[in-house]
Amino acid sequence: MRPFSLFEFFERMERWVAQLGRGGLALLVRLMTITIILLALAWLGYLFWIGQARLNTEFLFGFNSVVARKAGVYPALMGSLWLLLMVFLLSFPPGLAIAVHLERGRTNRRIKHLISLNLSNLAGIPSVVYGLAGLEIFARQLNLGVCLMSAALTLALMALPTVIITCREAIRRVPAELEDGAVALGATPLQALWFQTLPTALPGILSGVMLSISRVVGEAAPLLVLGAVAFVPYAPNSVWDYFTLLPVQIFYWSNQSQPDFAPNAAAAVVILLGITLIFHLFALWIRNRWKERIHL
Amino acid sequence: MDPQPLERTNPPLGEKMSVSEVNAWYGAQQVLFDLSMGIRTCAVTAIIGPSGCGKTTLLRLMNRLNDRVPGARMTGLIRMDGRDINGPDVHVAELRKRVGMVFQKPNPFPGSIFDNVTFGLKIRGMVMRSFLNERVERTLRQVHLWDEVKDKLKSSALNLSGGQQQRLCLARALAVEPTVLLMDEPASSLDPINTARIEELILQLRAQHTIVIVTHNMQQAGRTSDVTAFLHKGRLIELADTATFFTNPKSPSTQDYITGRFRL
Amino acid sequence: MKKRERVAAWLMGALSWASLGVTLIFLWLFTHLSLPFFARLDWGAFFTSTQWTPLYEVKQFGILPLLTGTLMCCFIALIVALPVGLTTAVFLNEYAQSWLKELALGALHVLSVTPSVVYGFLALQWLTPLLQQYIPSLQTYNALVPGILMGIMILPIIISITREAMQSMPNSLRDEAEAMGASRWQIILMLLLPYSRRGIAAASMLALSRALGETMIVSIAAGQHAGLTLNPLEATQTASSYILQLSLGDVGQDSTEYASLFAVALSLFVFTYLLNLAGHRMGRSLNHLSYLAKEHAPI
Repeated sequence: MRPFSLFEFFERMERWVAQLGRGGLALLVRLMTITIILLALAWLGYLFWIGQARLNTEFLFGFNSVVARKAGVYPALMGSLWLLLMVFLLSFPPGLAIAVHLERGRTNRRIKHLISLNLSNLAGIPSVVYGLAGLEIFARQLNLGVCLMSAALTLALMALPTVIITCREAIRRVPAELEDGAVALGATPLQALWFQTLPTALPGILSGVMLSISRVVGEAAPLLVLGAVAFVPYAPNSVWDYFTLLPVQIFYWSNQSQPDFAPNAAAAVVILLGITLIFHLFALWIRNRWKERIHL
Repeated sequence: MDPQPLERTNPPLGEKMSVSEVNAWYGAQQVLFDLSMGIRTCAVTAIIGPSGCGKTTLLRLMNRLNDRVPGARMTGLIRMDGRDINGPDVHVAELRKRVGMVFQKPNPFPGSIFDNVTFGLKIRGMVMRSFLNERVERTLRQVHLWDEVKDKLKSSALNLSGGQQQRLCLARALAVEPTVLLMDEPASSLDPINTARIEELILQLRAQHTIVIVTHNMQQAGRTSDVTAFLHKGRLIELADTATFFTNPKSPSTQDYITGRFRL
Repeated sequence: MKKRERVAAWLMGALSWASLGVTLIFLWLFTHLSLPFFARLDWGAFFTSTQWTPLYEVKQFGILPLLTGTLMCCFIALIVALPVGLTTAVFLNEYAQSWLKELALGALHVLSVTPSVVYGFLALQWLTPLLQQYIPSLQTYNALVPGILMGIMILPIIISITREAMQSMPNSLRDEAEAMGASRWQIILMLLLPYSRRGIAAASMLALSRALGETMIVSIAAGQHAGLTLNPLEATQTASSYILQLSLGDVGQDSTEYASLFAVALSLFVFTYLLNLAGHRMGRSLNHLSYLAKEHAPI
């Protein structure tokens, strides 16, 4: 029996492919790509179609209600925006600090590698796990209860690894000669970093952080685990309030047995997507402008 | 008013900096071997030699920039004004304010021209507007850049041409009024006209600054320097007044290098 | 001034070390809180029982239903994502500057930005009814639809990491092959794919880890009951959706169910952590940070 030869295998496959016609596989590849594009378009269209009845100011500024037609999304919207801001404030400073330390700090390289590896792995942990940990640590042990603060802390923890990774990326893009130039003028390494490298890297850092945070805004699972509910009749007034959020609202509305709530859910989805996309596009815009500036 | 080069009737003869028995390593590889030389005050010392002979390393040791390179090590003594620059009581940032450096490739900060020149001053806490304005004008005039950029001080330094950027970097270094200026092949990335400008500047600055210039261009060394040192494979082969160096070199290697017969 | 700097540097270092502490705290927390579960567990039944009914009167804790549910959904997701992802990555890599490429990148971006609730909503409201027209035996809550959508959701990860691996192939290799007369497809099949196989493996592992942790799609569209079934047309439950389901209800803090939550979370944590570790080691040769960044903010 002849030993299996990879080369032969591919040759045979080649011949089979050639039988499909020269353009065969190319066509297949293009088809796959088109499928994806169509999918994306299809469900954007579907969302709009279903939810169009609800996309009005009443919906945006109204409060939740048992009657589908009257239900509004204001508390959820406000909750999400509050949460966004809080997560940003809670995760950006430590994230940047750790990123700077990993890039420039004087620690044993092996330890830095270990920390970095740990962070990359933490970044891939399921969000429910974070939610459960947050429930136990923040809501129960630290006695914060179910409020915006514990939600923000949980999500900040979840976003932290990603924030660190993107900050490091941005700092790495800045050429090292910049710091050399500053140091040669008598700046300490920290001064060189603070006055030259970081300002130069800032747009990249900001865009990366915005991307990370905008993903957080769509997370429902950890918050549900934490105890978010959907029927909260007021918009949050302080960080210690009960709260609800857009994705949570969507979850509950999707689950309702009455089909009346489907349009609500669709409309809320559109709003959520809108917010996320705005953030993303803004972040990308910043990053593109910044790339031009760096490569001058 | 452009500063005029002073008459050189009585050049000061003291040594601003001295290098004694210096050995340097990058990791396990030794790049400088038992090097000793003096740097004359208010004079231009040129260090020439083939690539890889250690000239840049020597320069970087003089403002301790190699401290930032992991794995870089040195033994021996480097003194400025008689004091060991690696001594425990020396604050390295302070040293670098007295020993300025211009790099081979112009690397202006990505900010405005004004910000570039004033950076060294701002980190020393000098922030008074009037003072900064005056200092910016003075240094930019010194490097003959004032007329070209006086209307666009706030525009980005990255928009300047290569030659202008290098002069800007020189102005930036001069703004903090260093006594020693280290220049690492300052004109190698410039065209002949800008090279000539830089060389002219060096001659003008020599009156008040001690300058050490590393160059692989012998004509440049001959044109601009008072003292020339020839380095090969990390060792000092010859050190002499420029005039003597080029007309009557003592070492055969020096002769070969100057005449271009050099075999590595 | 020196002192201030030293304090700042120390602080940053301390925070970095603290990040290691997070993993340790998680591990300790979950282990500690799941001990009651493991202590009261009938280990025989755990591995062999076909019932997972923590919320019923008679609580049974067989692991098989949850395990099969989780694996089934992930399997479907990978079956959907890998072929489509690989071919798209090949397309994006090989056919430059086509209008189709720009459009595809945009579409991928939309896909990667979409929160998972949206996928869940679409699963239940759109795809399930749609597929029910073609597959009559498809139940309202099933494993197929979430699986498909999870596959679509992890597409951007697979595509971006695979692309990174493909782009890292030096052009000189390609030039040599072309100089020997290889056709475009020969280069793709015989040179590009074998060269990128590490990256593809890494992409799969990281995508799988993401799929394992996916909660919303499954919770909304797969149902809340874990029966032991390999039929994707029926309702099922995954580990993550179990955690969610239990948390939504009223669970006493001292009960076994509560502890079971942490047991499941612990296994999820350990498993995805190890998967991530393996995936990163696989993709080690790639530009480490940039592909990590791509994993979390693709394109």
